[in-house]
Parts: sequence; C-alpha cells; structure tokens
Amino acid sequence: MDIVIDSLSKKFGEKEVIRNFSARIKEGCVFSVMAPSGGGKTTLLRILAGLETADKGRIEGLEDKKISMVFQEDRLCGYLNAVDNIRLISGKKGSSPLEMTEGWIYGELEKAGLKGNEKYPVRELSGGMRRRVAIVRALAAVYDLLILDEPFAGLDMENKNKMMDYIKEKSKGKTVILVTHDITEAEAMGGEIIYLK
Amino acid sequence: MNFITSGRNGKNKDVENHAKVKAWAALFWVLIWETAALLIGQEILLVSPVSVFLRFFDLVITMDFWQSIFFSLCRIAGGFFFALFAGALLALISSFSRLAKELAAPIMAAVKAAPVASFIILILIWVPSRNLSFVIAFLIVVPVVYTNILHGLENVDKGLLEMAEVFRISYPKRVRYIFLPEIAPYLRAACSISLGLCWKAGIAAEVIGVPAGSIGEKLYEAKVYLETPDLFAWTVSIILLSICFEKIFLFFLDKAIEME
Repeated sequence: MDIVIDSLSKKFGEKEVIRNFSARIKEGCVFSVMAPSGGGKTTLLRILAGLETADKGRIEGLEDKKISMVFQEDRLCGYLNAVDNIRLISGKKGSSPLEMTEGWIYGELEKAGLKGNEKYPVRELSGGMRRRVAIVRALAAVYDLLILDEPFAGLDMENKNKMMDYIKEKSKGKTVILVTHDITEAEAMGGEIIYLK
Repeated sequence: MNFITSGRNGKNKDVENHAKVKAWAALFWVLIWETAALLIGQEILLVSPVSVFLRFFDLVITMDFWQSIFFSLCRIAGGFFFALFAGALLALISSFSRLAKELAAPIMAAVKAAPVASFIILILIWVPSRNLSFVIAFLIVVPVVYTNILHGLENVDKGLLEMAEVFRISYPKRVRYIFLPEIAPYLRAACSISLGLCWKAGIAAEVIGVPAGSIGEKLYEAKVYLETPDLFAWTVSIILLSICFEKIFLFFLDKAIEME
C-alpha cells in the first residue's frame, strides 16, 4: 500500500517547519527527500516514524506498517558492543528476523566492513564505524518502511558506496524514505527525488 | 547542599580517589594525637590512642557490645534500605508525574534543610525511642536517593528512548539496557553519600533518645560518667561499622551493576 501524505504542516512555536506538504510514496520504492538545513526533513521523518504529531494534514498507508530507522544521530547504547546493540532490537515477536543469531549478526557486520570490531563497546568505535553499526541495526529489523535520516553522514567515499550497496541489497522490495542534502546520494539510491521547500 | 554528585560518566570515582585515606597520613595524625595526649596528661580530657584501642578490644569481647551493635545496625540499616526503596519509588513516580514531582519538592527541600536535631526531637514525640534511629536514618537517606535517582531518570537519553519506540523494544529490555545503566552511577553516588550520613544521624538520634541497648545509649553513658576511653572506643566502633557497612553494600551494588 502506498503512503499518502496530504497537506502536512508542522510548527514549532512560531516557526513553521513544514507547510502543506503532500506526496505519494509508492510501496517498494525509494523516495528521497532533499531540502536545505532546517528545511523540515527530519521533522517529516519523525512524523512518519510516529515520534512527532503533525499540526495539520493526514498520512494514509502507515497503519500496521513496521518501521525501521537510521536516525540522524547513531542512537546506539555506547556501553554495548555492536553485536549487542543489534541484538537489542530482537526478541519481541515480529521485531527481528528469525535468523538473527550471533553468527548472522557477525556476518552482517562483516559485510559493513566492521570485522574485528564486533566486541568493542560502540563508544570506543569511530564515528564512521558507529554509523555503519546503526545502518546494520536498522536493516536487521523486520520492517515494511525503512526511514534513513542522512545515513551516510560521516562516512568516507569507500564506506559510503559500500553502505549504499548494502542498503540497496537488504531493502530490495521495501519502501525506503531517504533524507539527504547530497544529490549524489539521492541519485545513487535511485527512485523518486523530491525537494522540500 | 547539592546531593547530586555523579553523572553518566561515573565522575564520583574521581572524587573517591581524591578522598582516599593514605595509611601514612592516618598514622601521622595518630602520632599527633598520642603526643597531644601525653602532653596534656589527663585521660578525662584527651585519652591516648593506645588506651582507646585497649578499651576497644576490652569491649569487643563482651556480649553487651555485640548486642548494642546488633540493635543499632538493624535499625539504621533498616532505615537505609527502606529509604532506598521509598526514594527510588518516589523518584520513579515523580519522573512520570509532574504533579507528584511538584508535591514532593517542598517535602524533600524541608527534609534536606531542617536540622537533624529538630527532626530527632520532633519524631521522639511520635515514635518510641527504640525506633527513632530507624526513622531518622530513613529521613536522612530518602531525599538523597530521591534527588539522585530522579536526576538520573530525567537524564536518560531521550534519543535512545525514541530508538526503543521505533524498534519496538520490549519494556523489560528498555529498563535493563537503557534506564538502569543511566541510573546506576546516580544510585551509587546516592548510596555512597547517604550510608555515611545515616550512621551519623542515626547515632545522634540514639544519643538523644537513649533507647536501651543501643550504641547511642553507650555513648550517652560514657559522656555522663566521663568515661572518655569508652566514648572514643565506641566512636571507633561506629566508624568501623559505618565503613564496613558502606564497603560491603557498595561491593554488592557494584557487582549487581557489573552483572547488568
């Protein structure tokens, strides 16, 4: 089912960050949102993720959709290692794939270029490594909609390309909403690109 | 007085390292004490450390000593544990309810600001002297635990809570992996401070209330009969008891935190 956003508006105090935003996000497609800093991209994603409520407008097609997300910040438990951070999202029925064993997690981390760093507390990893752990975690979850809030920020070109391929491979057939201010990232991920004014 | 002494990074460990007592420094002050006692030459005014330790070992072998220790330990430790539970529960409620937080604020501020002696005398009117040290230890510890744990709860990373919401992480897992690690340093700091405070206040309450069979009664009698070696020996006992209780409790608390 497509996600239909109709005349969405959101204000913080006097500042209107989203005004009458409408879009149709086709099921199983990548949908990239571009806007300058402070343009309401993250707010839009937060509304879609259910972390904010819109002042006006409506969203259809999100009902019963399981969401996974790469946040703008890594939002990892610093004292836990990469494996445990990923395992943290498992357990509740339908929240993680059945194959999410420790060996499977090791394999996914290896694909993200994190081999040898699996057992370090993530606070001891570099920013780029933490970013990749956050991406692996998001893709390890069971989801219908994947929300990516500037997922490649802080990654070097090699790792950026590696993670783009990883996301494309793992999210095949799933609805993906990507927020970025880098047109090359949006183009590389494919799908529709819109500009939030 | 600010009771919040620890942050997420466990900075209280630095404070503890600075406060660590070195053996040579302790020995230096014992020598000063011995010299002063020799110079004064009157045990009633200043007893020598040697006499104190001899008297202490005389006391230790009596049943009466252990009965008094047991009496005071049960009440003060009981007040501490009860306060730990009540303070944590109140903090939890206050973290969810603004009304509860606002209602608790003046009570906690009053308990923190009021002189312990006033509380002791006031509570002596309502509570039998046997249980006075329990109530006083409770009252001294509750605001410390409440303030620290509430601060810890309010400082839980909102970003991680949102992450848990998005990934549908179960509530027991949220408590174990997000809340407890954030609160642990605050809880440890609260316990570390309040363990010392509850012994001081609890014994002070016993000295005023003079319940039969308590350490406070022994201190009171030592004062009345000008038994200065007894007074010092009992003080040494209280210090040792307080330190042992604190070390043992913090050891188990640290183990529990590490296991988490």
